[in-house]
Amino acid sequence: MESQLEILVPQFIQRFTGILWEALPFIVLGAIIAGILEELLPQQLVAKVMPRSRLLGIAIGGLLGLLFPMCECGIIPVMRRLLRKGVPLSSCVAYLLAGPIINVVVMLSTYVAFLGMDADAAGQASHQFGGTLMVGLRMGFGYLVALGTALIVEWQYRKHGTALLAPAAVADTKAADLASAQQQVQETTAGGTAIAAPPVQAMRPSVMQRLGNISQVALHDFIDITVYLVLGAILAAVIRLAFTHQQMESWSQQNAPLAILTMMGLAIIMCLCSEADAFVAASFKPFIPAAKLGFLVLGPMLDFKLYMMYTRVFRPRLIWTIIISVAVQVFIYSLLVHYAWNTYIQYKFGTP
Amino acid sequence: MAHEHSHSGSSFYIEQLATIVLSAAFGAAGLAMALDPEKKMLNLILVPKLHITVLLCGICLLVLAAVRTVTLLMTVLGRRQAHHPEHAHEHHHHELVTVGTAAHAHEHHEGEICCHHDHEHETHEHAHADETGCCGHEDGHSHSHASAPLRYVVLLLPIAFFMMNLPNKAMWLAQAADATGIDVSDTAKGPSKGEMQLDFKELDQASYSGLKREAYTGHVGRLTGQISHTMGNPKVFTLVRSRMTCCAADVISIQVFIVATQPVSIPDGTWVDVGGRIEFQYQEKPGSQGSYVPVLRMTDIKTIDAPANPYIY
Repeated sequence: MESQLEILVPQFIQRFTGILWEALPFIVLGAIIAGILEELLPQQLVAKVMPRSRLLGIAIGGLLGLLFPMCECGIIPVMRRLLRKGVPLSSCVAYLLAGPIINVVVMLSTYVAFLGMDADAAGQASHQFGGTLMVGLRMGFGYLVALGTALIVEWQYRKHGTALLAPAAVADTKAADLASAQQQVQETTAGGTAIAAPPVQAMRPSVMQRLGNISQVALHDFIDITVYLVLGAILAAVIRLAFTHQQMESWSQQNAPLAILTMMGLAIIMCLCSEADAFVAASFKPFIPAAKLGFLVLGPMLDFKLYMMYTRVFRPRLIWTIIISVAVQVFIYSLLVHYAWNTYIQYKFGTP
Repeated sequence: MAHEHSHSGSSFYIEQLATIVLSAAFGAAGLAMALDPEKKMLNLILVPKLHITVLLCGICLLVLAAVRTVTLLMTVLGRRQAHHPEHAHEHHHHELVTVGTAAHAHEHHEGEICCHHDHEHETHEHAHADETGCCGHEDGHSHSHASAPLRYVVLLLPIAFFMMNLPNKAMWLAQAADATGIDVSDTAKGPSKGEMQLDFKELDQASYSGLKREAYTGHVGRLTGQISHTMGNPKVFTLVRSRMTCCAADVISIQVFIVATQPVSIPDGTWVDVGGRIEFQYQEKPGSQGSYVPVLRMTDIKTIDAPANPYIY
C-alpha cells in the first residue's frame, strides 16, 4: 500500500530521534568523565591499594567502576594499565566486566530510561521493571556475572599463567617495569639539560593544555560512541516498526528463553555503549522484562567491538573462557528472574 | 594530547576538525531544540522532565568544541614556530604527563624502548607509518582509515533530521493514529465473535484492563457518535461523544478510532452509527508512557439524526 510508507517513515523518524536524544546527554556526561579520568587520575594508586587476597581483589575489582566510571570501549586500555601496574589478572577481569555496568553514569541512565515503566497511562501495573528495580537487578547480576567469571579466570590463571595473555599484553608488563625504572633514573639526575634524550620536564601541563586534552578525549569518545548509538537506534526503531506491540508482548511471554536469547543476540550485535544502551532496551517495551535485563547485563560485557579489543589483550583460551562464562550466566540468571517475576506477578495481581 | 607527525599531519587535522564540527553540530541542534520556547520538536520525542538534559548536553558539547578548537589552533601555531625540537619536546613532555595517568589511547612513545599501542579507542588520527619500529605492537588493526568517512555519514543522519525539522507536529498529527502504532492494514486479526451493542464509556474503560480487552476483542459492535477527521488519513477517523461526569463544566470528549477500508467523506460533526470489529491497539506517547485505545474496524456506517441528548454519563 502506498500509504504504508507514509505511516512507517514518520514513525521510524520519531522513534529513532527519541532514542537518540534520550541517550545523548548521558554519552556526553560519560565522555567528559572519561576525558577527566584520562588526564587527571593516577592509576598507580590503585595498584598500591589492592589487597593481597585474590578473592578480595576480585570483589573490589568489580566495584572499581564506581571510582573509574568507564564505558566498555574505554575500559580495556584502563584495564591494561592496571595489569601493567601489577593488579592481578582476575581482578582486572572483574573490573573489565563489571566496570561498564557498576558505575554512576550507567546507573543514572538506566534509572531514567526505565522510569515509569512499571505503570501504564492509567496508573495500572504494567508487569515491567521500573527504574529502581531495573537498576538494582542490572547492577546485582552484573556483579555476580563478573565475580563468577573472574573466579574462573583466576582458576585458569593458576593453571596457565601468562600464557593466557596476548604477547603484547605480556610485553607491556615487562616494558612497564623497564620504563618505570628508566624514569626513576631520569628523575634522580639533576634536572635541566638533556643527556641524550630531550630535557626532563618536571613542570606540569598548563590548565589550558589539560583542558585541551580533556576536550580532545571527550569529543573523540563522544563521536566514537554516538556512531554506534545511531546504528543501534536505527536497528531498534526498524524492529519496532516490523512488529506491533501486541505481537512482541505475546511472543516474548510465550517463548521466554527464546526472547531472552534474542535480546542477548541483539546486545552482541548492537555494540552499544553502556551509558546509552538502557534507552535502546527500554524502547523494546513490550518484551518480557527479563529479556531486557539480559540485554543490559550482556551488552557491556560482550559485543563485536569488545571481542575485537579482547583479541588484542587475551589469547583465545581466555577469550572463550570469558565469553562462555558470561553468556551462560546471563542466560541462566535472566531466565530465573523471568520465572521469579512471573510468579510474583501471579501472586500479586492474579493471572496476568 | 595532540600528536603531530609530519607524515600524517593533514589527515590528523581533518579528523580533529571533523570531530569538532560534528560535536558542535550535535550541540547546536540540542541547544536549539531545548531553547525553543514552544519546544515543538522536543515535545514529540521526550518527556518534559528530560528536556533539561538536552539543554545541558548541548551546552557541554559546544563548550568542548570551542575549547578543543582553541587548543588545536594553539598547537598548530606553536608547531609553526619551532619544528623539530618542539616535536621531540612534546613527546617527552607527554610521556611524563601521562605516566601514571589513566590509560590514554593516544599515547606514542617514540624513541622509547617499546611502543604501547592502545588502539582500542579506534583512534584514527595516527598514521600507521608511526608504528614501524615498535615492538609489542599488535597487528591486525580492525580500525582502518577507510571506515572514517562512513562514521561521519552515520553521524550526519540525526543532524539531517534536525535540519529538515523532523519530527514535527504536522507530520505527527497527520499520522497520529497510525504513527502511534495503530495498525491500519486491511486484515483484522483473530476470530470474529458475535455482535454486541456498545456503550462508549464502557469501551473506553475496558481499554485499561487486559481481561476486558480480551473479552471485547473480536466482537462486532455498533457505536454512535460524531465523526471527527483530524487524522489526515481519509480511512481513519474518530467517533466522538461528550461525556459529563458531573455537570456542563467538566464535559470531556472521549473518542474511539475507526479504521475503514475505503476513504470516508462524511463531514465532521455528522452523527453516525458505525458497526465494526472491536480491537484494542497500543498507542505510544513520547517517553515510554503509552496506553491501549479502542479501535473499530468498520464494516458499515450510516448517518443518523442527532440524538435528543448528545451527552453520555
